[in-house]
Amino acid sequence: MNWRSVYEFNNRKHPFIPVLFHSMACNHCEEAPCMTNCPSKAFLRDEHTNAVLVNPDKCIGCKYCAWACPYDAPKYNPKSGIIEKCNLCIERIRGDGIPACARCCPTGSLDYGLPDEFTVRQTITGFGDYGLGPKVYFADKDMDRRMPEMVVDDQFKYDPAGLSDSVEMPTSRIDLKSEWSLAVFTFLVPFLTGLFAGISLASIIFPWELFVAFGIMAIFVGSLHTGKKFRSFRSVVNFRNSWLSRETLSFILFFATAVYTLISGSVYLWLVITTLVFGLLASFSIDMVYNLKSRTETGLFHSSNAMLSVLLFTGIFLKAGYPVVFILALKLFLYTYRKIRFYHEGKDPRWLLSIFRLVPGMIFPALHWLTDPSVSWILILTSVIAGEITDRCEFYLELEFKNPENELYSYFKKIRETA
Amino acid sequence: MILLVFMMKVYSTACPRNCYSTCSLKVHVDNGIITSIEPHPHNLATPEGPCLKGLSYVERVRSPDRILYPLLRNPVDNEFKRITWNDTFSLLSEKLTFFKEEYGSHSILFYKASGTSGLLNSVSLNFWEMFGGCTLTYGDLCWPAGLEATRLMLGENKHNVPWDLENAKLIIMWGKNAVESNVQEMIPVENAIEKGAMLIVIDPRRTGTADKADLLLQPKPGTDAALALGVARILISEDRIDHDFITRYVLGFSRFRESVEKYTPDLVEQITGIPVEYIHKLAQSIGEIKPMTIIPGYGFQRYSNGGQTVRSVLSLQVITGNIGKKGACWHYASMQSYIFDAVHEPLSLYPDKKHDGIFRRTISTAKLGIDMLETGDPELKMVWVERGNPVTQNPDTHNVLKAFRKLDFRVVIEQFMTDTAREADLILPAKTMFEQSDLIGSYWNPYVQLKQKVIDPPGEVKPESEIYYHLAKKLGFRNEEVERKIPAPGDTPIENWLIRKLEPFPGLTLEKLKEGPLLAPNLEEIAYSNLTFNTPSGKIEIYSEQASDMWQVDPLPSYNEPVEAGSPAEEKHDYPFVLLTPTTKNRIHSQFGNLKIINHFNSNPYVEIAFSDSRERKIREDEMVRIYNKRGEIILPVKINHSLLAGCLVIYNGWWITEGGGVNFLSAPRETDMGYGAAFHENRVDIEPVKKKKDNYEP
Ligand code: SF4
Ligand code: SF4
Ligand code: SF4
Repeated sequence: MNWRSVYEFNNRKHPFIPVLFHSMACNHCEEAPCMTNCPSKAFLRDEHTNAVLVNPDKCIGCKYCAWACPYDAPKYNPKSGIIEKCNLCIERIRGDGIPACARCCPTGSLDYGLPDEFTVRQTITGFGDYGLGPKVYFADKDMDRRMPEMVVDDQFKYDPAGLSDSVEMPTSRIDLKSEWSLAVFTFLVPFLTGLFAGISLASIIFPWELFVAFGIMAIFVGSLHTGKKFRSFRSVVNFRNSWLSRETLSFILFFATAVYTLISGSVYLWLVITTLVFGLLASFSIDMVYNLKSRTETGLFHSSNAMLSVLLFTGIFLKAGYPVVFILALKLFLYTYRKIRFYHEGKDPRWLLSIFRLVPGMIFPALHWLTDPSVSWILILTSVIAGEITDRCEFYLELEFKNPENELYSYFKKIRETA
Repeated sequence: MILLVFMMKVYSTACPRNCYSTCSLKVHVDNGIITSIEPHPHNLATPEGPCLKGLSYVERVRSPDRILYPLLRNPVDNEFKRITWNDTFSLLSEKLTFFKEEYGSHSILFYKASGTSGLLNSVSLNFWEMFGGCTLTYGDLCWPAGLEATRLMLGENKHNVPWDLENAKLIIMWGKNAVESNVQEMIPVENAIEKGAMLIVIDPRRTGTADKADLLLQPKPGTDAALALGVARILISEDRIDHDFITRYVLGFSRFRESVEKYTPDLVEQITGIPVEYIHKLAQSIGEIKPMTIIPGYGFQRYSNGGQTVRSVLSLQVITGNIGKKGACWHYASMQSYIFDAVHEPLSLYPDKKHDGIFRRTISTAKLGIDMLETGDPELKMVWVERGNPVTQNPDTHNVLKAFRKLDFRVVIEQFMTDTAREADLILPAKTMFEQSDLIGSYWNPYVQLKQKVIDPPGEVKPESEIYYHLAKKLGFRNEEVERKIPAPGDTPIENWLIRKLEPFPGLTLEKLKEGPLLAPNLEEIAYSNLTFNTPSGKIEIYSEQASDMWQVDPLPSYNEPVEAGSPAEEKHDYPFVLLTPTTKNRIHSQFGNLKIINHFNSNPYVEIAFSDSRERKIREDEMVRIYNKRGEIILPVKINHSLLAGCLVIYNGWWITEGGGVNFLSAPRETDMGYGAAFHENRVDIEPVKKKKDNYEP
């Protein structure tokens, strides 16, 4: 594992833009979001150096810190199943050395010391200011955008509009293939909450064994996402700070009370309501988990927002026609708005998938509920489920967090816009 | 803990690769194992420490792939089998005696290259001398044309200390990519830039160094002389030259002035491809900004016109009076720390003029393959290779391989299973730099350094001096002569041998050198500051009769159309691309690429093509392509480079054939116009996708 990465920008050397390198490891931020968000309290701060460290015995390998860090510092090691990252070479510092990277950089481009020993600044092309108090500073030289004047021979008919030929768009490190388990989990939580409401409030006939099976499946699939499955119970310990802990904890509470209510056949309304509150909390936590500052899109106003989905499923199971239509309309609006925005931003709106999501997923059930109540309820439920799953999958396809590569690419986009 | 600290030792040493930097290093050794390599701040030229290759020694020394025992090829199954040193020496003495008696000692070729430097390397020649001679090679793959060009004009090869670069106001990297080949040089260069200096890079590629520059000019490969002479013409006609300096120190200026008349900007644009406007821009910078240092690379002198090209570029340094001052320097190569050599390169590379000496026969390094094949009376029967990998690195691989395979017996001393070692009958395990002490100089920094022994050789590795010692005894050479000419095995005899070498230099002792690098005695921090020149006339010879006498070139700097590169003449049309084979940061020629840590960063060879050419040829990124000419071909994935000069292809040199590399299948066995260098950077090739699919390319 390389704890320090050197990001190269413009490696195909487009003649109109500079070639940039960013050498980056952990910046040992003052406001370290990796630490706050880690569900298992695996992070600690070294007393002596203030370095941000990971305790390998506590990490469950959920990779959440890697999402939360906009500098791509936590690196997931698939072999050990946990996160590793730059530890500021604290053993060397204790032995009055300096970090190995600074020691060995042959040009002296990396150095270690107190910032007032150097003339420094805090920003540089490609290094975003996220207000985290990173402990890295840049020499106050104007080298970062330097590029030579050169003859760009137009006999080659170089096509300036084809700039994107030369600069690769960074590929997202998050995709459905790696995150499918999260998609399943985050679909099941609102679904089960709605289902529970239906069973206990609208007397929907549903065998409790199947409910238990769904719940266990959610927990199992959810834990598939972590590198250290047998340790994944630790994911609840940071409920004070981490929405990921809160998500797991509230779902477990929901599931436990729901199962108790269903098996005991309890008729206490307060128990049902408590259970539903836990369910709502779990869905709200899901939304908050993805509402990290480091995310490239804002997370809450999304058509697959889990809170909306809870309400939708609850409505469907309670057979409350108008609220369902209202929520579907809201989702439809959010969905279309997002797609049109993608189209304008040059991102792929996935038209085919969109049609599937829109027609059977939202328009069909809404229209039928309004116009033709004779259509089978099961058909409506099925098409809503299909639409919801599609949307949740798209959510993960679109999910991206800020990192140095993206940051450099947005610099390039700025150049392209002005070109 | 205390015990650990106690056992951990830190030694000073230096990197002996054929690399400008020659970094001083601190080696941490724990219980006989090298645990880390760190910078040695006493070396003012490499204060921040070694490159990645230097750090990778930790792996290299203990690599599982290292050859640790003598290995003999079993002719039946072609596998190498371990044999004992006893059997090795018996076999070697039997073979050597047989070839000598049957065909004469000159049927044996001793081939050495620049894989590791050190004074003890000279022991090998002492051995072969006692043996009664053998065939040697003359010339060198690296730098002789430039050395000779500089020697002809300035009298010798020396330059200002590297840290003087900070004083320059104009730095021209002419065909040098220091970011990769001499990364420590970028420290003073960047300091100079920060102090307001201008950096100009002249290179067909947009290199890492180019991206630090103010101006990048991309001449067609092999045409640099025309550019330089065109600039000289502008400087002269606009009177931006140093008349006083020229009158006092330069020989032949008026003839030079006449001869550059013909290099009009229009003609130069036509030859080099650089627009007139930019030729003027270059001339204007050179004329106005002082002091100027030109840092020429070694690549552009590995052309058939290399020597004359270097003389042409050097003339710009001379006519502007940028010699012998702070920040004003011709930064080609400096022999100031080679204090132990009686004769310096390039002269020491020349074939012996007398044809009756012990080594009366030498063959060309540049034409190794064909020369080996064509040499008769006696024909070559055996080769002994050390410190080199000629199968990968010498031009014309097909013929080199053919020549090797024609021999009866091949001995290779190696650390790893290189392409050359694979061809051997007998492989002897080679030491690393940490396993025997030696003295080294540098052609870039001004230090004499001790490359110190810090660990015992692993396995059954024996340093070459020991191999020769035992073999000499086995062959029954006169005992007293052996003892005089070859140091006996063991650390003390080696140290005594080195101490004897240091005797003429009272300031240099082994004890002091064990602490770190020492500046060479009589060092001129600013070379030529006394403005005396070791040429026949005592002046800077821009007009050199020696040049025409020795090399049959124009006594004045001139642009000669390169044989293969340059503007394509009729027969060159078959192969429209010029192949560039530069060095890259993570290997020294064919060394280091086999290590895991290096592979982590550079794992596969590839060829680069210019964007416009890729469109024209319908070649896509990462596609497999065949690069070929009449000498050979290699197949590689392709990368598109949007700033490369069109008409050029780039493959980094040094990739082993077994790794899919082997650029020298494509290179020509050809000597440079002077100095007996190899003009193997000048090759025309063509490129095509490997599988000719249907035309479905859409740009
Ligand atoms: S750089 Fe990333 S991992 Fe390091 S402290 Fe900051 S947020 Fe955490
Ligand atoms: S438990 Fe998760 S968030 Fe915490 S360190 Fe491990 S991978 Fe990162
Ligand atoms: S290879 Fe060159 S730069 Fe690297 S450590 Fe050796 S001398 Fe220094």
